[in-house]
Amino acid sequence: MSTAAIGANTLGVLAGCMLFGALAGAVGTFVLARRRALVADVAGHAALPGVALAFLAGEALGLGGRTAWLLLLGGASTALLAAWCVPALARLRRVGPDAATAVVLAGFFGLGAVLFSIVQGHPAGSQGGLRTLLFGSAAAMSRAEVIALTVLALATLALLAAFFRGLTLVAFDEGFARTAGLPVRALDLLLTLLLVATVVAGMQLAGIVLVVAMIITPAAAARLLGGRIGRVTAVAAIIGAATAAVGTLASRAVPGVPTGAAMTLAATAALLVAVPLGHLAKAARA
Amino acid sequence: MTGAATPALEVRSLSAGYLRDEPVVRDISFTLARGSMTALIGPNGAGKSTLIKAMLGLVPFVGADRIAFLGADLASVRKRVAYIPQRSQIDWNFPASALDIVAMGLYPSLGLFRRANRETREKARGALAAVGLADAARAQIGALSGGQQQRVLVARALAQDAELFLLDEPFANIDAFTETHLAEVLRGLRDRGRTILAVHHDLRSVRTHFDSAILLSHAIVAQGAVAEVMTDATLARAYGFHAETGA
Repeated sequence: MSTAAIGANTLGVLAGCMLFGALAGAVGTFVLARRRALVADVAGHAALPGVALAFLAGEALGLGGRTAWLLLLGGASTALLAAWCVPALARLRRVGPDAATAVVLAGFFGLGAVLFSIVQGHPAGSQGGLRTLLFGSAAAMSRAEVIALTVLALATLALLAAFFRGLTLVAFDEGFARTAGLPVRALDLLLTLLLVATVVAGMQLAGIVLVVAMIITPAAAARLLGGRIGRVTAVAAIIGAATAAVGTLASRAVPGVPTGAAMTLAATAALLVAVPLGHLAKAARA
Repeated sequence: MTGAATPALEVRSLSAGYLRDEPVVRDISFTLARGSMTALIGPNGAGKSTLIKAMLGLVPFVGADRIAFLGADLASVRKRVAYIPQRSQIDWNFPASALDIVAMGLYPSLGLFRRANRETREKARGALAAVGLADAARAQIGALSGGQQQRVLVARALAQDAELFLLDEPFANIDAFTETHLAEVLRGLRDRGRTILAVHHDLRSVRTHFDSAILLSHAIVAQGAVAEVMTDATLARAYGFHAETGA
């Protein structure tokens, strides 16, 4: 392979990373506004069993274990199932929402770990590695996977833009939204779908354990900086894209550092910078 | 169209609650005439907020023989009915300006996708001016005082051009000046034929702000003109003690 080809591939991966970072920041703004941050964590962990099942299904069907669209579909299926399980379990009043969240997250993750041990016993599965999927690896992504991520991210962003106003209204005042005749349940389901799409789009890059950081941290930093919802969403997308790029480049420069971990640290640093900046901006307005 | 004779709100035999077979309010029946201003009063936990939410379908278990808004089902007159929740139920750290919130009142007529045009934006500005907050249009809602936040919510209902206003504790935790101002705004609406029903906590100011009252303690204890509703006997029945009314 020539150096020019490697360069083009790296640029492609970098662009995909930044697109994912922007998507995560934008979707995260609404996840935060609707107070669904823990659902993002559950969805990330719960993608693991789905990915493992999709790998095994791909092998069994002769498509190959690492069929990009099949892995996305598998991860999304169990992530959605888990997102549905949390409120269902929380409705049992002796359990409650926080315990339900912990139980579902751990249960799905445990199942995923068991299934993954089967995948790694598989000749085609041993090269992938569980660690790569847990903490993310830009280098391990195939061309097909980068393309799948790009398509999914663009579609998700388009949906978010189309329903921007409805999602805003529900997040601010659910009671008013209901009396105004907005389809609140459908919009909440849409937000869950956008969240799950973001999780699976980023799971190979940021890792299923750390993908939540890219959804929540840039959005939290953008909120600290203030402004109206449109600006907060845009700033979150920019912080997401920038920290994703920094993380990807850093993990390439320092061998052995997982991409998701480097991205998470970059996003956390952005948040730490946003705290004093937010105070300054507030003082300047007052 | 519904004529002036049709009541603004008619409720017959409503029972509602958050758990099946455990109603918070029972067998509620009342009628609000158009252009009236009614306080919904009663002790803590009497079900005042639950009653308002139940009429609007915001409570899981609601049964009623009839709930008619402006003579029709809520679904067909949503634009003309404004619900103003308790200020404490709203996340005031939400990233939005005062004008953004008021403009939300236009969504029932705009729908999910139609964009606000100049006319609708002017309407939102006008509503903000009507509650005395023209200068605060661009302010972050989190930076507003409690009284200003309450007025922003009323302005949202004004922008909606509603005929029936259902307010949950509009006078809670605001200063005396804002209370007077807000009461004036609401009376102005009533004088233009709008109908107002507000959950109200302070028995001493029922007389000054409202024409009529509904006294609730899970069921209706009394309803009618303020003086008839707020007698020692009815208040003792609702509150279980001799309430301080300032009379």
